[in-house]
Amino acid sequence: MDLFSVKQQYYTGNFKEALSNVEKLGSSDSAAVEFYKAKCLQALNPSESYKSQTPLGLVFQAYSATLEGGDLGKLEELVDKHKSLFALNLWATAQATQGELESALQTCIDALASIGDLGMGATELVLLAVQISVLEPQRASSASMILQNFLAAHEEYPNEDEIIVNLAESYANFALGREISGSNFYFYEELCQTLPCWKSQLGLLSLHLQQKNIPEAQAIVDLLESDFYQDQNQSAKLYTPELIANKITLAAMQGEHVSELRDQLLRSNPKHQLCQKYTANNAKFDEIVAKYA
Amino acid sequence: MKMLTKFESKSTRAKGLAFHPSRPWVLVALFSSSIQLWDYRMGTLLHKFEDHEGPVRGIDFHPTQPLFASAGDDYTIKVWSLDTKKCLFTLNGHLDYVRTVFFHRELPWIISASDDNTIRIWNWQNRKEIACLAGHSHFVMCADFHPTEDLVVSASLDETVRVWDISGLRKRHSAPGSFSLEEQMMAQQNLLEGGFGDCVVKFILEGHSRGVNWASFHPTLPLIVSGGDDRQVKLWRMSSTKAWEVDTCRGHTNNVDSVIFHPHQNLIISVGEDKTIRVWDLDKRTPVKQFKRENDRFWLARAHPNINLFGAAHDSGIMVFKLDRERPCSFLNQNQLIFVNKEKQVQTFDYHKKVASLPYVSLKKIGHTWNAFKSISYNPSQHSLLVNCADNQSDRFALCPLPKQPTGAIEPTAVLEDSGSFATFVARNRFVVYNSSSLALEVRGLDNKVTKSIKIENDSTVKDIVYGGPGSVLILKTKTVVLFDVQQARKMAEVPLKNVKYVSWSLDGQYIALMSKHTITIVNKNLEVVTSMHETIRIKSAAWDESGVLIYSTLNHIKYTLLNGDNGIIKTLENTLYINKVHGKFVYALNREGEVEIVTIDPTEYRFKRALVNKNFPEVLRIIQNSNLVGQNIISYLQKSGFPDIALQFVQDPQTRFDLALEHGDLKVAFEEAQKLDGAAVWEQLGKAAVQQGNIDLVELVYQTQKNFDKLSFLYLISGDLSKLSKMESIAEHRGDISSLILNTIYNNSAEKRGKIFAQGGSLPLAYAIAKSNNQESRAAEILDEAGINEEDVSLPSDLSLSTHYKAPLVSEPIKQWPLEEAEPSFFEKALSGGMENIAIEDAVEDPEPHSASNIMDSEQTAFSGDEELLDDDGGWDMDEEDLGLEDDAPEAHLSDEVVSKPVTDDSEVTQWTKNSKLPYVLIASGAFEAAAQALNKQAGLVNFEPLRPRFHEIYESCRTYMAATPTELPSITGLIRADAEEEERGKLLPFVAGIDVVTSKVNEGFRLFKANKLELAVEAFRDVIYTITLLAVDNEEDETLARKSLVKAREYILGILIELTRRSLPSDDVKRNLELASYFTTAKLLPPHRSTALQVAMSQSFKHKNFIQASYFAGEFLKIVTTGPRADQAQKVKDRADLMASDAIEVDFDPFAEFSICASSYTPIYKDTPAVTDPLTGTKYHSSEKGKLDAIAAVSKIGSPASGLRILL
Repeated sequence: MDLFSVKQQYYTGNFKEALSNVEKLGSSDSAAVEFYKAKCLQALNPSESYKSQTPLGLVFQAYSATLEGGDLGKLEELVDKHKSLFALNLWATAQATQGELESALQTCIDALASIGDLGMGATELVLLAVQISVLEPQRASSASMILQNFLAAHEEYPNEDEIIVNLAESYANFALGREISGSNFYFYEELCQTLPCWKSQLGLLSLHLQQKNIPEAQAIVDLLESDFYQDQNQSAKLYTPELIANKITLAAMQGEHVSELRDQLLRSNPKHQLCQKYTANNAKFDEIVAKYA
Repeated sequence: MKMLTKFESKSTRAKGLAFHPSRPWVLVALFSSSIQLWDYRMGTLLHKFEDHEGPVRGIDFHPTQPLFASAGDDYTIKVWSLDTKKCLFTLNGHLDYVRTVFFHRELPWIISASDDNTIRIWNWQNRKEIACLAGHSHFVMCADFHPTEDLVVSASLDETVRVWDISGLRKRHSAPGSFSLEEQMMAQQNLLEGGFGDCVVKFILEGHSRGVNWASFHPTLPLIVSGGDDRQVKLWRMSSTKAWEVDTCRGHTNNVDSVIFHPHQNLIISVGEDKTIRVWDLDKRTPVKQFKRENDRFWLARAHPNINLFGAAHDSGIMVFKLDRERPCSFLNQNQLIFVNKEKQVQTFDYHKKVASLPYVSLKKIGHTWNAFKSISYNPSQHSLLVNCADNQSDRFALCPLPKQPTGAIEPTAVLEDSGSFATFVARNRFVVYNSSSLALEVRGLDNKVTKSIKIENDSTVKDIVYGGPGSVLILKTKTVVLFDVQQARKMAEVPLKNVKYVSWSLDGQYIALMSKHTITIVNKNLEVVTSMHETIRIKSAAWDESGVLIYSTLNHIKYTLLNGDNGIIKTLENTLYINKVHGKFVYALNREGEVEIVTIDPTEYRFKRALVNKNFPEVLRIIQNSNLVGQNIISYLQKSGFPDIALQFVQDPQTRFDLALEHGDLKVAFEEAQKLDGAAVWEQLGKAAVQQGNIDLVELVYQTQKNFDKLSFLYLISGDLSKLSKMESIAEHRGDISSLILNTIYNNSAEKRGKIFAQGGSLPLAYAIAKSNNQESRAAEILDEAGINEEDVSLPSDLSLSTHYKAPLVSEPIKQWPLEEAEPSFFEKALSGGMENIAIEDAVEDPEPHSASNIMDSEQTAFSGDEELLDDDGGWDMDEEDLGLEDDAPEAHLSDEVVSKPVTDDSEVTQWTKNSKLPYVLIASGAFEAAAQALNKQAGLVNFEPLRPRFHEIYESCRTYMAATPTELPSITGLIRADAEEEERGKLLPFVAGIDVVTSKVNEGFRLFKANKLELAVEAFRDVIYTITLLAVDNEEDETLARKSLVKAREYILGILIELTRRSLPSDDVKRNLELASYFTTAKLLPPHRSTALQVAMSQSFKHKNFIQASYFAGEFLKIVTTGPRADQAQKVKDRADLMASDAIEVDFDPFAEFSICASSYTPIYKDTPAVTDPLTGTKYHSSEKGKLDAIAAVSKIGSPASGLRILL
């Protein structure tokens, strides 16, 4: 089963193309195919729940429910019954989205420890584990450890997984501030050449910001605000909050006031990391104002 | 092409020379009969070989053995040993002068050419002649073997060149076993007949019209080159069956005596009696270059067999030279080396990946074919290259954009070529070119248009111009080095150093190594000399390692030097290398083939020395413990440097340990070692040292060991140890040592005993005198009895009295140890005694990633933006209340404070940020808002934080960027933005800092609003300036000064505007206050064009309300700023009119000549010596009654609160 093009598209955020590639593969009972199919469908239309009676399908339905605020209990039960790396992936993702980062990471690590060889879905789990690790700055360095351990154990992984490994590596590097002007930058720059899309452009934008390349960053913002990208409705909707967040950064780096942009982000995605930090910082500031007044 | 002379010898006429294949030696055959051996690298004459009678003409080193052969006019060939420097044997046979002699490259053969018309081949092992090649009908001037084939070429005055086939000779002489007995017999016969049949003429090349002096084979191609008295150089080609003349190079104006092929390039080199060396293009047969000597005819040219060197013999010696430089041009850019390989192709080398790229472009078409480039300069932002080259007349340069990806040696496109020297990038879009005819430095844009031309002081010739930091260049002149700021067009610093050729910047941009041929001088960035050293071997290159140690290469060594001048050899080199980077134990260098070599070195020695110099003792200890760093060298270094205690750690040998311990004053160790050594000299040394330290116990021990009784007694005496002193007396008695005993009795004041001794010894008079002087009358009487005389018979000295010389001891207890201040044990003593287990040795050694000097350039794009814009000039406000119809015309002073912000630091984990700096800015960026607030409160009395809320968030947000997670359900990944993305050393990580230009742009915004008469908005803008500066971080003092000045400026504008706004809100009948406020407005320190507006307001208000004296004053002030134009005319009219009236209708509280400031709260003057308070943040003055209130200017700080001062410098 060649999932190369599916993964290429999926991991660059082109869910529509990924989905059509999945469909080209025809019907299959492979868990991987179902995993990607469900993921794409969900990304494209979060409100529509995924319908399938396969074990993974059921897990996925329970997973979708948790995103709507449903409790984790049911999902855990189902995952216990149907222990596959993909199911565990969903379980850990659900834990992470609910803020249970430690248990989410533990789930990943346990799952990775128990696979003997490169089972289907291990690379995906590594990617997840890396992301969960870097969400907390004090644990960020373990991200690269997880990745390194994985790569050491699996010197050869399928070609189609390369993008996942690269992505995981890029997240780790990004969060740790490594290879900012080196391989990480080139990864995104290349990605923007081969698979120009919202996600790859945003990645490159972040790397330019990390390098303080203001004009280059502005050029990407302009590009993403151009009709070409704005017309990609699905992606625009999914990724606009990230764009706004980085526009805030870009403006702030130039000493501009950003409250309007921030309000925009607060309205469109109050759960965004920037909004959460803003809210927390604002509360801190209230205390300061009160204390010295 | 350039002839670089490496060595010249002075002697009588030289007819021949030969290079040693591996050592830097050259043999010179002299017409005067001797042979000289020179070290051409050191320039020293090593030996003179004298055995020939008459001129020596031919000379050759054996390719592998320590032998050489010579031949001359004495008809002989001599073979010499290089080891014994003696002639081993002589080959006789030629019947006339021998012209040349050469060794065969593999067989034990020698070939010689003689005036007896023959060429002979000899076996030097059995010392026999094995062939005689006859055929030439005149002198044979030269004969040599083919480098690979069984051929010989010869040149003769019979006007022919001949090629001989000697394969038969090889067959017979190298594998005799394969021949039958008959054949051997035949061969023997042949030999007797002069080798007939073994060596046959293959080709006779006829074409020269006079005698031929020289002929040489091409090293690889079937070509021959010859030169003769017809002044021509001829090129011949041969196939297996025939040979023919290809072409002739004409140009020599006298006999051509020697001609050779360049070993690696398609060139021919010929020399002749016209005193020239000429270089010809082999492919086109055109002259490339010629070098002329004034008085000396050239006799021979020769190429070094292995390295790119040539030699030429002439009438007064020889010269060793190089054709063109071999140093590959390179340019360091961050983690990349851009370099030009031997094929003139541009490649890059990635230091991280340690791989070289494919070529980007081929620069073959740039400049002169045979000329190497002088230097290159790379511009990372444009990805383009400046190439400096020279043709025979002048310097030229080319600006060559590189393709994005290296795809092979393609032709570059859009190359811009022009004449000019030393083109070097100084900014993203600017480079400088030196115009040697106008002696000016020209700043040019990427379109090659000159934007600025700066004259350079013409005190000595400019030899090169190299990168000198952002916007600056280093001008290397023959006598000095000048650091020149191109942007400001002025000399920043100068250091008098002669002939500096190469420059290497330290990674932190703090030091520069300036290299001339034999000297390295390290200067700091202000060109103040730090250290200087001399090398006897030529210095080739240098690069700094990440810890500030300079690693440099000479012709044959890699060496290091520390900033204090300590230096040493790291490695010996076989081939010359041009170092471009040092990282840890790797030295990256370009070799002469234009390839990057990575040399592994052992940095331990210099790291150790550096750690010592820096007193980084944990590092020293770590090195001692982890590496086997030993040797007399290090120990003597340590001793010399004043670290005997450290040297002790290396040494086992007791004597050395003893010496070191004494030097260090460590008596304990010295005593231990003395016990082992147990020698009188050692004990004596130890005793002396112990006395010096007052360690009486040890002194005692030493004296006891050494049985130094008298010294011991004296020791007890001076230390007051009376009991031991008396014991010494008994010991002396026991030993029967009379003199010692007497001494002890004196020390002990035992007169009775002493008397007894004298008595026993038969010296009764002395015993009597002692008894007498001690009032021992009975004893005296006894002695008299014994002597049998009367008291009257004795005449004692008249001054004899009771012995008073003995004083009662003052110390009751004997002194054991002279009280000395307890010495603090050295770091090493502590560490080695285990008292420092917690020394974090690991932490002390980090490998800091350097930030490359060249990336400073990236941050610097603003410096040459080219648009040093003046704020546009359009004068004051539209004053609706009083249109005097004046237009202003004064240009606004420009606030184009171009800022060069240096990347200093920065990065990662936010906690590390706060560890690295406690500036409010950094605290905010890290999210430590409360700590920041506390600091601001202490530093600048901030109490009202609300206005700063947006800045707090913005700073925090300016340091973070977000990346979409996969899947998107997950929270975004946060990436931090550091001040320097390349920084990897944790101790230097800091958050992104927007920098001073934000302040500048905000100030400009304030000016714009002010000018547009949007005063409320202007106040907001200037407050924003103050808030921005309050929460600013800058990384250099220049920026800090600018920031603080901007804060004052903002304050003055706010104050002025607030006064003006208050004036405008006054009821129209309050004329007095109106006039006062208008006057006060003029006291704000605004930019002149803005102040002119304030003056204009005050002038028109005063004039209107008949305060003529004041109006005249304001008009006068106005005219100082605006001198021409309608507004000035208007003011002049006002002034003239007012001066006529010369009276003030209303008395106002404003005396322009008094010293006062305006209270920012009451807008009334605070005269000098009146109590006043200051705002700690803005420095605004208030009447003392305002103390404790909120500052009116920025509305964040409390007036008069104690504060330590705002800190913004990182």
